[in-house]
Amino acid sequence: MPDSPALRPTALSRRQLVAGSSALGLGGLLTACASSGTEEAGEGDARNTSPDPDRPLESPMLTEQVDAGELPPLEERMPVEEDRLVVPTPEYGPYGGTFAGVVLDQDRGWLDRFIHYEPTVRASPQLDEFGLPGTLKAVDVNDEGTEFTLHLRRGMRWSDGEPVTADDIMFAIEDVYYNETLYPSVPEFLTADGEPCTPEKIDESTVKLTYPGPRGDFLVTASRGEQPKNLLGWPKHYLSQFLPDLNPEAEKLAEEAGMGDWTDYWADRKAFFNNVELPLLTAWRLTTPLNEGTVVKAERNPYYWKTDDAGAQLPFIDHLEFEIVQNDEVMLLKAVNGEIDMHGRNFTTDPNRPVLADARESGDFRFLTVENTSMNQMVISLNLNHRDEVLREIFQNKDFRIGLSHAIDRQDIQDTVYQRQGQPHQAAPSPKSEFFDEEYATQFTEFDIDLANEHLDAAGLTEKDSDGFRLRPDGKRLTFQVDVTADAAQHSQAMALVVQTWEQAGVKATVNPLERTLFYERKTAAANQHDANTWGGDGGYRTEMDELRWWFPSWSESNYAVKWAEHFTTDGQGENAEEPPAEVLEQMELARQIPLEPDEEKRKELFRQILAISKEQFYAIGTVLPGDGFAIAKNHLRNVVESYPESPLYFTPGHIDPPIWYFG
Amino acid sequence: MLRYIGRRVLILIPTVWAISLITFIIIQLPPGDYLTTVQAKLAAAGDQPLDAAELERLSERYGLGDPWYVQYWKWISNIVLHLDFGESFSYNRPVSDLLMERLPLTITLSILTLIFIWAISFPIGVYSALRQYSITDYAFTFFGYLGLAVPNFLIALVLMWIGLTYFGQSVGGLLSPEYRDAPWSLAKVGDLLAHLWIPIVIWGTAGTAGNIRVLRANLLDELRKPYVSAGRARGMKRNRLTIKYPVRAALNPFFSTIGWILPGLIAADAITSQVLNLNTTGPLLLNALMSQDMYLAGSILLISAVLVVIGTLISDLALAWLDPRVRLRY
Repeated sequence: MPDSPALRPTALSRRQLVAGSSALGLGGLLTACASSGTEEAGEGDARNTSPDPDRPLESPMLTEQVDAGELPPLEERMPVEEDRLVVPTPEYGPYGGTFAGVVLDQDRGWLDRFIHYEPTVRASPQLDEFGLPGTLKAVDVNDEGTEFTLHLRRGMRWSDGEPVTADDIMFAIEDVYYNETLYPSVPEFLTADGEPCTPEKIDESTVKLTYPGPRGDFLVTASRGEQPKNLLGWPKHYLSQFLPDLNPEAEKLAEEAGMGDWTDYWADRKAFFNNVELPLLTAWRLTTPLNEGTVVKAERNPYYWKTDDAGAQLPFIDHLEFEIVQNDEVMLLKAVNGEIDMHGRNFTTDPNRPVLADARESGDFRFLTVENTSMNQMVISLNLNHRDEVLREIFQNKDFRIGLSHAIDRQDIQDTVYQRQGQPHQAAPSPKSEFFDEEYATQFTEFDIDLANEHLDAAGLTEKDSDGFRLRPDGKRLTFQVDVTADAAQHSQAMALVVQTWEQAGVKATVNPLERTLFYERKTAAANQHDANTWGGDGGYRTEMDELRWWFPSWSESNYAVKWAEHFTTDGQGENAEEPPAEVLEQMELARQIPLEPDEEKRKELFRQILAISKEQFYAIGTVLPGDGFAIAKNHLRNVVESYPESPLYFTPGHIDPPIWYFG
Repeated sequence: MLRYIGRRVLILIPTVWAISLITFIIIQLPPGDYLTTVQAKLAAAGDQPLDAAELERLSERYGLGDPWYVQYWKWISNIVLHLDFGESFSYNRPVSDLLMERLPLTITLSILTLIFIWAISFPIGVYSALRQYSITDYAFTFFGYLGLAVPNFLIALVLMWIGLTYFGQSVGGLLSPEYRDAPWSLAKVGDLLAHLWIPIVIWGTAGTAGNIRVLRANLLDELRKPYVSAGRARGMKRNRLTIKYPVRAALNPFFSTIGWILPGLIAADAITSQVLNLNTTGPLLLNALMSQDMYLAGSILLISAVLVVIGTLISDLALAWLDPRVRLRY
């Protein structure tokens, strides 16, 4: 947080404002929000907190185009008044300006996150509410959780001016998701019990989805950012020409474009970051794509369907420019020089924090707090499915894992590697999480070599060789390698410390830094070459139920048991699947029930049962709970929440509403 | 002479073919392929990985499941038969387009650097030789070695830091953001020049240092030859004599390396370009290699290799023309 006294009051008052308005809910309640804004007007340097009655309701840039006859007037471009999405706006910015951003080489991820978070229903800025109105005005759910009635915004238009209708959703489901060439199996979120749902067009602005069984997590899943889950991400009037089912010439079109076949051309055309012609529902549309030149440019979408809470069309900022930078050190230098308006990726790391903190005044920017959704700096996975029978048996012994966990000096790691941030923590939900369980989070975290020896002895590893290292039951010295990705420098440092203290307990391990691709290659279920490896603790806060990797072997990123995970993902049918023990099977059964359960509380209850078993099983060894991360924002960029959780699932910072940002 | 040229040209064909094959195999050598790199990158950035169906489609599209010789044949046959270098996986655009976008800047910078190197190294080299072991000679030698020894990217970082802290200059790229789209004006040219000197000086340092040393050593050899003494003894002016005879002879090695200029024109130092954020072919190649974007990396390397080979041919021919002993040996 800024130390400068001049910045502090602003930061606090703005944060309170945003927190206050989001608590009131996104839709409606304009007056309440507006008045709460006025009350704060006297504080700090808060400005523009009440809308100027004479201000324009659209950008002057668009007014010019309307006057020149190039664009229809505002009323015709936006949805009917009651169907516009109103975004709570602490300050009413003036229109205009060009946002200066950066992207690293061909990293489309930041563009996706910044521009492309327009799901059918949204997550709240603090990720504590899901299923809020998005591109859809509302979704009605029946009591069983099997029927979902989707209400579109009447009069809403794509960025090229064509109307958005129920046909677009029907197209997305029937022609895209149910197209066997594009999706050999129907996307999971359109199914229940493995059977696809049935869409039905009620009228021009209503579609009803009927699932064969309950689909309890529909609203949460639909709040995510990825295109495959966005029912309103497929403009029929544009995209239908590329599908052979709807256009017999599709194959020819692909050929003319120099593409192998129509699926290639389809993939090329649906990628908004490379195809500037694709109609969108986003606040800005690209004018220069990512794969051309040195700057990605975007300009405001004149048909955007959101307003601030006093009725002015969003976004406030007219243009975006993301310079393509080859190297993250150059980005850092640019940030220090104050050339980046807002960024929270690539270079906003803990080691760079001091450099950036020093430059805040000269570069005229501030820090935003990015709440970490990760629960661990480093989780050590011993391969419970190890290819070697002897090691497998040792690793599967819980006493062995407990012993190793006690033989880690977490305080030392925290002090020397992680700038004294955080606290010792197992691979368990964060203290901020509603699923936090102190006992789970702190079990076996005490650094105690005697206790470690006790557990290792109890695991049957009592014999030692002349160097004091423990022997395996077959008489060989117990040694194993811990794979670490070479670009996670801090993991290599931390793991080097861990290996030292393990040696004190008579366990010989070596750190094996690997290029990222090789690291991945070794840990697939098919290869299963790794003895042990390290990764961050994804999914500890806000995304606990979405990111299951550390709670039980649930997908290929559950590094401690990739073969059991394959059993789960393929229902035991996978080539490399291995039947897990009963407790793990029980977790998998519980996990399968969650999406079917329409009641949120019951879903959480099922999840708590899974966690209880994870705690008991103690699959992987956690080290240190990370402190909060940060992002940078120039001081002239306003209306940005000062603190928000970070999640790739919800395209952070997409969910904190870049369209309301403005230059003040 | 014709026979000599014919031989040289015929040798080119298997050479280029061998280079293309080795290049392709080496690019394929690291574990995994383009898609595993993409997956690993997504995971490291905390983004969602691609789903299995998409992976399957891409793998099919890029032919990544095929054995390497099938992939090689696809690539090389398209180049030979259609002059089509294939498509970059990560940019989703033809390789030739990507190169065309970057070549003007790369070639401009290369030529300017070359001029810089010559303009600096020639007078200094001659001066150092004429004033051997003087204080100025030592000073130039000192800076020359410094230039040779310090890695380019380090100089780049230092210069950028100086530019940033003392001149408040926008770092990276060749234009400040405010001039990027502005029409050409005096101010824009000024801004361009303010950025342009950095890469030129950086790329120039190593070359300049090397050139100074070569020129100095050659010239020293020549200066001690009897014909110089003889010329002086017959009353020739020292400066006129030096420039007219020993310097001319000392320049010979420069011309035999003329072949290296050709590939140098399209290749830019990758690390320095990356640090300075210049949109040259250097970072394009580096990133292509790191992400195993095979056709892009392979094609850039192949084009460079062909230019090296052609350059060498030109050098050979020039040398044969200059020195009868060379062409008679064949």
